[in-house]
Amino acid sequence: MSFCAVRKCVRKMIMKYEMEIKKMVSLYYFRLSAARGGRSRDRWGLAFVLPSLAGVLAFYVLPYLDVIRRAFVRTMTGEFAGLSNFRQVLGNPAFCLAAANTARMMGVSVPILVVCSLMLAVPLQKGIQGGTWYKSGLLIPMAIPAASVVLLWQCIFARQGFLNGLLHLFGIPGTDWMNTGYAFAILVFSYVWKNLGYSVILWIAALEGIPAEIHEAARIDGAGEWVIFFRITVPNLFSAFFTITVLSLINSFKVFREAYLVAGDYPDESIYMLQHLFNNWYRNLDVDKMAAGAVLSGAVLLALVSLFWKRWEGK
Amino acid sequence: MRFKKGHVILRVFLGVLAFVCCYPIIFLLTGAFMGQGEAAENLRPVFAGGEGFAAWSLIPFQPTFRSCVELIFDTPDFFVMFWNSMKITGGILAGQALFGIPAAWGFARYRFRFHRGLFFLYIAMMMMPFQVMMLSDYLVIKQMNLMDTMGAILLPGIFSTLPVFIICQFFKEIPEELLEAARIDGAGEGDIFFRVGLPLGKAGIISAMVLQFLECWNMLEQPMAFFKTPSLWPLSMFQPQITAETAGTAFAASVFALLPAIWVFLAGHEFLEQGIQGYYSRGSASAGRHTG
Amino acid sequence: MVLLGIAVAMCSCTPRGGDGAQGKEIQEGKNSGDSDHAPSGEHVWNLTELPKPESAVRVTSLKYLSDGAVRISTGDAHFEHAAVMDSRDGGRSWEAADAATSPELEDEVIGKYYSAKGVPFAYSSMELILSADSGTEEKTVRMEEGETIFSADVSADTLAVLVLEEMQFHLKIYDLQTMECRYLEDPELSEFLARAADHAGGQISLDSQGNFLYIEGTGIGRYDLTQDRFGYLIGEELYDELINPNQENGLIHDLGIRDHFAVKDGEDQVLLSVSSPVSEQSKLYLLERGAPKEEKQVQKEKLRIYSLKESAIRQAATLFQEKYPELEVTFEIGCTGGNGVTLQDAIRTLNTELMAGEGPDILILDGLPADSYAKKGMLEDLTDLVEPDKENYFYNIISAYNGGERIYQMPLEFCVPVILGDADTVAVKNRRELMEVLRKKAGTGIPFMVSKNISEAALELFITSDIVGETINEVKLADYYRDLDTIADLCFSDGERDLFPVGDKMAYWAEQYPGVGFCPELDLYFGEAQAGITRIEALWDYMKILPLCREKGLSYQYLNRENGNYFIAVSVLGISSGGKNPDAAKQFLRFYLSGETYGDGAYPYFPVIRELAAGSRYVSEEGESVGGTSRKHTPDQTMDMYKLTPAELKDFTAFLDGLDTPVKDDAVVMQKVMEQAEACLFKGKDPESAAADACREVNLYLSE
Repeated sequence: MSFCAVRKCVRKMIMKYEMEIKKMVSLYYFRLSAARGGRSRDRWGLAFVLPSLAGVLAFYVLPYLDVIRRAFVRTMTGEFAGLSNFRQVLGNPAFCLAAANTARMMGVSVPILVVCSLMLAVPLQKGIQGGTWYKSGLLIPMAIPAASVVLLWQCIFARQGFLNGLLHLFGIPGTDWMNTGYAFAILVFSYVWKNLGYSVILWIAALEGIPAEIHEAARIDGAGEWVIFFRITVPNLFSAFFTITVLSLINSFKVFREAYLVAGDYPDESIYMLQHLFNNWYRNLDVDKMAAGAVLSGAVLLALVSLFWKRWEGK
Repeated sequence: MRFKKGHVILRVFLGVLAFVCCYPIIFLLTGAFMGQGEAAENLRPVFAGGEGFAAWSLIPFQPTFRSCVELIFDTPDFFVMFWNSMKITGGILAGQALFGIPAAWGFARYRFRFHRGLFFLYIAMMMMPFQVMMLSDYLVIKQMNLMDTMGAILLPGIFSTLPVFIICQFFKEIPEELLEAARIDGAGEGDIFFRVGLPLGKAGIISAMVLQFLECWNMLEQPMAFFKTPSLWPLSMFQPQITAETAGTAFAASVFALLPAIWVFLAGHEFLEQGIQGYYSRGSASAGRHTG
Repeated sequence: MVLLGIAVAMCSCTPRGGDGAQGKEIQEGKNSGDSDHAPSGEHVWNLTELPKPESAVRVTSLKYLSDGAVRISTGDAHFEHAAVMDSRDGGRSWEAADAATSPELEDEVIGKYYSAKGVPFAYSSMELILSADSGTEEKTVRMEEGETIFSADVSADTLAVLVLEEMQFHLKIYDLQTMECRYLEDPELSEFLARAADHAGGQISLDSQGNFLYIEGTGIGRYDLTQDRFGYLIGEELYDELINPNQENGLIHDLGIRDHFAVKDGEDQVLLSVSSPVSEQSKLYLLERGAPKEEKQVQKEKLRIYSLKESAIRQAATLFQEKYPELEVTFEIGCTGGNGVTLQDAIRTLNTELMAGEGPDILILDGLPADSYAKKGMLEDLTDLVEPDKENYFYNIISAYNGGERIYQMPLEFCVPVILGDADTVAVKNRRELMEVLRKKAGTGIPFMVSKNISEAALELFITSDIVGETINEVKLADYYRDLDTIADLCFSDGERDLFPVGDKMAYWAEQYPGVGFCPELDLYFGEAQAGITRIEALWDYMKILPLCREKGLSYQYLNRENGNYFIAVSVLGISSGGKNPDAAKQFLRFYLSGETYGDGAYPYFPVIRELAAGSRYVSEEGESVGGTSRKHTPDQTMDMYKLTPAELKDFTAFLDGLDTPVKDDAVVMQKVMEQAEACLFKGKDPESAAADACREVNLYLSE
């Protein structure tokens, strides 16, 4: 089976790499006396990483490579299909809709989350009475399992749920929110609600790292609060920006589970996302299309992340 | 502080926000303690159709432990599942600590060949949703004969790259001078990791562990795909059909599933606070502190 | 905090030992506790079937005699053709016994048994008579008022009687010398008896000395008469495992009703006779205590059958397993609805298994994306299995379902959507003509259709139409909604629309599909409607239509027959080409198609095997009456129903032979369309926007 072939191939790659390590190690031993610290120390880094790397290769990279392989072959027969899967996927209207929705979801919710949590983190870090309580309160939504969240949304946003009851009191007619375009807003709200606490904590940790003297110096020089924020605080936070953005991106995938539990396989158009599509393709055994779609969207996402890395991680 | 008025507004705003975030918990709690009938009555419009709107009272009319009791004593599966969840979560967290933390250290502080490429690889591995990987994961696990054992969930979970990423970002913040100082004092790399890196990186480790705890506790797709025998199922799979009648049990189940998470949060929070205070109070106030 | 966590963890530890996965070990405690003369060692029981004595049909009594032989008496329900036999080798071979005749009773005899010494006794519901023996005379025992004898046994000088009084069991022990009677009051015993009453138990047996009384219920209990103590010979769970084997395989394998049992002295053998509730046949089983049998380790070939939801094929699987014990047949249900597994999750897990090569051998394709499977080559070609015998089946159904080509999906059952009414009504060929007839007949005071019928009619009209082809036709869908609106206007009486119960609305029927349909026949019969749209699912349904034809001059016809004569296929079977045991799978299909799994009873749908209808209990030469049927809300109005004569059956079979178009029922499409239909009819949405919404959602699905 070609899966074994891939595995053999990867094994060969790993073995080749091990050759490299051995070469490096012997070289370093040779140079050890000459070098004073420096490069020889770096092999320690490898030692720290290797066990984890082995596991990652086995349980993550291998399946990943298999998925990539499936993007190029037909589902059942395994014959090579070149780029036809990709062509099919790109021409599929459902894929275009799902991709657009997913991009929209990420493009809206991640910035909102990152900015809002930063806005909240600044005063909380400076210190407010009862700050611990606020922080704990913000963290709690993350603990609630998806099934309970779904129960909640059903109780609140259904046609006869709490929200409509509330609106009824004011004479505003309500509707079945999850099945209209508002579903998108609900999902964004749910996402921000869940992840706010954690992002705030991470921002606070990052903010703590900025030495207070810099702020003091700027204030003495007469700069206003906002100027200080934009010119001093933010540039020091780029690394945290990267971390929190990547984390938020990852978490935005998880929104799918709630959307799925509430609205099923074919939700309202505004929240029909790539994962819905992949799910449905898998149900119909269209694994080749699913793999092609996944490879495409994964590549786009990776490109985005590497862009962030270049800008914010420096080096 | 400067703007008293601004402060009050801020506090009110934060208070409202915190309430909005916490209200669901109150909702679940009251629901768990309502009698079956009351919960059914309140939620009937939503689940069984009919007229009117769903109602809720902050304090249940007839508080009762019945739902909880039924859950604990009448559903024997519940405890087996609870224990399974514990095993899975504990196992994965332990493994991640064992393998992931050193890896994060390695990526953060050392410039070995390919370190950038491998780190990028780690990031890439975080990005694939499970639906897509499911079949390939299944094949790998089948090849290793781990199907229908705890290992099928534990091993991939242990090698998850997300905690490595988070912890690495925190390890990067540690000033290099501290490490140099330790090296000059004659410490080996391993010592440095244990004595300097770990304590200073506590904030990151705790953050990552808390996040991972939640993820493992609520893991749904993997157990569904890889566990065939019901005796292995974790708690997240205990989702009774939610109708108006079983709403009470559903609430009670949610509360029970929540409790360990909340406990971890509250406990972890303390450590987190300490950690954050900790590593920033060390080290001197030198300008070049941030090595990014 | 930490302490709280530890406390919680400990709480969750303890019950784990309590859940009964280890049945046998738990029974260890219960077994070895009380008995001091039971042999120690392996507490494992093995169940084997014993051959009955020849020419025996039903076992009427079972007893271990004091000399170690086993006595069995057989006969039929009225103790006619009685025979008594003994076995000296523990039940393996039987020879005629030299037994005294049973005593005569005034009332109807319920049981005829033998004591440990071989003395016969018999009882009716109130009276028990023990025959005279050497040295003793005939003894008669009468029960108190309100007590009826359920079972009894005699050994040495003890008579034990289990009586039923006001739905509760009580045990009475008589000393045959003094004829004193005492009731057993032990609380554990009473609890056991109560459970036995709930679980169809209640047989008792004494050992040959009369010291131990055994009761069969949820487990085999043992009462020590000398010490007045209750214990278990075989515990509840172990016993349940023994008499309900194969439960983990998903098959139904209840042994049957336990009629009689006897325990050998020394307690290492128990004989059981069971009978099946339907037939009169008894079976004998021997429970032997001993080491587990080695031959259980034989690796059997496995046959895995998978169904998404509960299916009638399970019965067939059970029968197949009985016929071929060298195979191991398992029946899995993907989504039982009990835990958090949804239909989608089940399908996803199944797909993973199929693609990894670990899939089941036989798939019941209802609810699964069967067309995708067929397109991807996951299903085996069954043509060669089915075509050679095509005269035995309704081959039109099979062929039409597969598009007239090779057969990959095998429909095993089917039903027919029809329209009922007078000559004008059944002459319509499509919905347009139906609407014309509807408008013509609207003003006569009798509604065209009963309002409750409209929901199902909407579904049937949709699935038999051509609205959905490669894509969904929005214009046709809007027309369809408009027509539904008209029907509702003309058929609902004033205000009825607003009060229409939720449970009868269209989306509900779409969910239930292809479950039980609504039956408008009676409404037509009593003149409360002029027409009806329903499904003929079985002969019983046809029997309800016949009086309409005979007495009221009405008729039936295929629905929407302009597009073809539609049928709905149910229980579609496919053999997976990735399965491990395709030969056994084909064997199963052949077994099913031979008709062996069908009795003469009522089938929920029409089987695709032809000759089964003729042997059904609903067909007879004279076409005699089977009684009347009525509606729930008017129980006094009844319609008499009669069995089908062979001529009528032939007509109907010709009707079935005319079917040539399968309903392509896509669950997602049905659900979405019916939701919008409801919005249109009951929430005042206009047909165009309803159609637009439905199309948008469905096209998303179809475009994937």
